[in-house]
This record gives sequence, structure tokens and C-alpha cells, in this order.
Amino acid sequence: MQQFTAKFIAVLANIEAAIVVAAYTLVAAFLLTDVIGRELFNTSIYGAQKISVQATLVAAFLGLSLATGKSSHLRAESMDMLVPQRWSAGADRIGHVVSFVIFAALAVVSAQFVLETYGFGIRIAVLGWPMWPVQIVLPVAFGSSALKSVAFAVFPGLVAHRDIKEFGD
Amino acid sequence: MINVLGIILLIVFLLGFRQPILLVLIALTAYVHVFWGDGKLSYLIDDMWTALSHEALLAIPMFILAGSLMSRGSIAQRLIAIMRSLTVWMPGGMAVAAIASCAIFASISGASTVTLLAVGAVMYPALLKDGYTEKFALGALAAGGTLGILIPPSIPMIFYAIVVEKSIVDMFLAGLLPGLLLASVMAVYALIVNRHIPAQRFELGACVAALRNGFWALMLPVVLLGGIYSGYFSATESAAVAVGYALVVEIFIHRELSLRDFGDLSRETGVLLGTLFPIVAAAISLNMLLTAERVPQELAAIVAAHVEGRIAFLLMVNILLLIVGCFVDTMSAIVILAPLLLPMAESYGIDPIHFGIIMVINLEIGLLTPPMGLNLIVAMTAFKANFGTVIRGALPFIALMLVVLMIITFVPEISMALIN
Repeated sequence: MQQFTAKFIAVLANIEAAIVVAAYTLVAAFLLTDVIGRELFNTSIYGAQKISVQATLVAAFLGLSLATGKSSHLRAESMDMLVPQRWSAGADRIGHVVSFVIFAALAVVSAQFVLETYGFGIRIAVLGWPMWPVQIVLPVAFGSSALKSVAFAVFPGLVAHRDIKEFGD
Repeated sequence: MINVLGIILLIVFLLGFRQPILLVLIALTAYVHVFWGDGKLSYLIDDMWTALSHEALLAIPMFILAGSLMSRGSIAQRLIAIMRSLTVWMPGGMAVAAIASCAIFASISGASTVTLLAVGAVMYPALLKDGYTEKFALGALAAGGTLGILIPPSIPMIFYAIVVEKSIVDMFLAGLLPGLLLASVMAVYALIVNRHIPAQRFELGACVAALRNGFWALMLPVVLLGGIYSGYFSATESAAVAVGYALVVEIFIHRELSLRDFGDLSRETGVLLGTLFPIVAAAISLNMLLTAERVPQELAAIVAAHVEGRIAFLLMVNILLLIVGCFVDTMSAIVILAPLLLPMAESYGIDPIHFGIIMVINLEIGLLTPPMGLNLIVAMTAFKANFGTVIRGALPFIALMLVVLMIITFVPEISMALIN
């Protein structure tokens, strides 16, 4: 069961990562082409920045799920002392359960939010596209993070080691 | 009163059970919505979505990606080679080259850890080989790395400008002279403490060769900052130009990277921004709620009633931010505190851009102060050094940075000189 869960999380992370890479490539390509077009050819891509913002939103929330899978979220580790060291392993597992509850609640609330956006027919400014297809990333990312958190609570061996070099201040 | 107690208990519970700052912020915002707002939690999600739908935020992934490309390729190494060839004639010249390399890399990267790792990977072994002490090398690189967030372009400055709705270009202009001042002070200190290390013969041929090899790397800050300040492109566009330039130079001219590397680095950037952007979204969501409830204005009134005068306020803010910097990362501190502190600062007649620079320098010092000093931890991990040695190495630089902080705080002209 642990092996299956590990494989499932890895496949999920690969799909998320592929979308994130595509989104950031799109952002770089659109912004750069826009600048080159404007400065050299006196033309620009219509809505380049708006499309880039949508791509960044998708990448940001899928990145949240990727970061959950890699245990990369910023934490105030100095506060770990609030729970005595000998209960540390237990606190970690309860922590994953707490994360699951919060992420699952966010998935539900964000799904309601997307339904409201769909119901009101809200569209992206300038582009005129419906907003809800982009916003679907919200329940997907929070739901995926909830799944990963509950998997870590059940199988602590799946928790990735934190990589300090990934922080970006 | 019961609700305030509830907030404290909630935060202690979540931190005790190892929750990320992101979830603590979201839970806190949800709590405020339920007990002080109208209880509709979908507003929280709406605010988070709106917070990230800001075009200026596009600059952040692009600058992080550009920094990663330059570190993985050879732009950083070539810039360092130029600095080394230019300072070789000074006693202790390698130490000056380390600081200067950090400063010049800071002018293209926008982040402190990227600067520390890119320059440190080359300079740390070189400094030790040339007889500089481990303590000095660690301190100089950890402190030099912090220039990444003061010398523009700077990611924390972009965050500040977005959350307080000011011009990113003004923030970049305001950071230039303070950044150069701090880099100069660090370089002079490095020169003085290492004056016993003998100089080497200056060779014009080697210097010309380094300049020729590093020409395309050296042009990057010129293109970036020149493009922004001359108005050819916005700060956001400059970030995309940095990515494009770094890709072309590293793939086609230096031949150090492949498109596959770009994919790997984009994935790493995605994970990194997956930690940063949702925090920003949650913090802005909380701030929107607090602003709607007029909390910043009420806090400003309370402070104005108890803190007499601009000097006392500035000292108080500096102490507060230095303490915060010990425990909280730069981005979280800026997005949470800037909207709360700025109305107070403005009530004392402090310019928002100047206040932004004060915040950035305080939190820059926080990168060097335990227990959460990010550059200390990164230096310890990357260079496999003892934490105590890193801290002892950083101490003199922290003292220098505090002196510069006081100068920048009380001489606003240094920050504001290039604006208008």
C-alpha cells in the first residue's frame, strides 16, 4: 500500500511539474516576445501580460502542491520546541493530519468559490475568457495537497527531507 | 478579548504541530473572517486569487528563474573572474573581489541565497586556498549574499511595492545608493582585516582576458538596469529579458546549458514559488480584511499617541523589524507588516519609498541573525561549516550593517537622491 501511495504521489507530482514548467515557459516566451515585438517591430501580443498572469496563477497553486509533496513550505522551526522533543515524531504525524484538515477545507471552499464564479459568469478582464476554467486549479491544488498530507500522516516514510537551498529570500 | 485569546491559542496550536506559515496565515485569516467579518470563507479564496492576479508579480518567477540559470551556467563564474582580476593588486584583494562579486551578481539576481550560493561556490574554496580564515570567508559570503535583496533588482522590493501600491522602479532607484554604500563599507572592512595577505602582481593580459570572457555576463546588469531606468521596459518585462538573455548567452554563447536544464530549473522555480506565492496571497488576503476593518489606521493612532516624534518611531520600528527578522522570513515579514506599519510611518512624515528601504535593510540583517537567519543556515549547509563559526564570521558584518542601517534611516536623502 505504501509503495502504491508513493507511486501515486510521484505521478501526481510529475503531472503538476509538467504543467508548472509549461506555464513558466509560456510566461517567459510571452513577455519576451512582447518586449521584442514592441521595441523592434512596433507591435505587441494582445493580452500578453493577462495571459501570463493566468499562467502564473496556475503555476503558483500547482507549485503549492509540489511544495507540499517536497515538504518545502516555510515553517517557523524555532517553534518546534512548543512540543517536547520526545513527542516530536507524534507531533509530526498529528501535524500532517492538521494540514490535511486545513487543505481539505480549502479544497471544499475553493470549489464553492469556482462554482460561484461559474454561476456569475465572471470573465477575465481584457481577454474576455471565462475565469472558472483557470480557477479550477484552486480545488485541484488544495485537494492534491490534502491527499499528500494524509499520505504523509499514514506513511511517515514518504515525507521528503527539507532542502534548505530551495528557500528564495 | 475571548476572540483575541482564541487567535493566540490557534497560532500556538498550529505552530506547535509544525504547520507551515502558509496554513497558519490562512487559518488566522479564516478565524478573523468568522469572528470579525461576515463569516463567508469564499471571500478568503477570492482575496487570495485577486492578490496574485497582479501583473507586477510576474517579475518574481522570472527573476528567480534568471538567477537559477545564471548560477547553473557560467555567468556567475565569469563575473567573479573579472572581479578577481581587477582586485588582485590589493593586499587582501580576494576578499574585496568576493564582496564586489556579490554586489554585481546582486544587480542581476534579486535574491540573497542565489547570490550567496552562486558566488560562494567559486569564492569560498578560493578564499581558503589563498589563506583567508574560514570565519572571515563564511561571514563575508553570508553577508555579501544579503546584498542580493538591497541592490536592485530585488524581489522583496517588488513585494513591498505591490503590497503598499508604490512604484517598483522607484523602489529600485531608492535601493541603488544604499546598496552601493553597504557594499563599499563591507569591501573596506574586508580590505582592512585582510591587509596582511600579500598582493599579487596585476597582469593586464589576464584582466583583458577576463573582461573578454565575461563580456556578455557583464552586459547583463547594463541591459537590465539600463532598460528599466531608461524606460525601455518595465520592471516586470526586465525580468523576462533577464531570462531570455541568460538563456541565449548560456546556451548559444557560453554553451554551458541545454534546454533540458531550463526544464529542471523551471520545476525548481515552481516549487520555490509554490512556497512563496500562496503565503503572499494569504497575507494580502489578511491585510485586505484588516484594512477593511481600519486596523492599520487604529494602530497608527495608538502608536502616535504613545510614541513621541519621528526619531523615536524610527528607532522603535528598527528594533521591531530586527527582532522580527530573527524569526520570520523576509517575504512574510514584508507582506504582513508593510501595510500595517506604513500608515504609522506616513503619519510621522516618512516617505513610503524610504520606509521600504529601511524595511528591506532591517530584514536583510535578519538573514544573518539566528535562529532563522537564512544566509547563516544556507552557508552552513552549502559549505559544510560549523554554525557557530558562521555566526562568529557574520558578527562584524552585522555590526557594519547596523551602522549603515542607522545612516540610511536618518539620512533619507541617500535613498531618495535618485528619485525624481
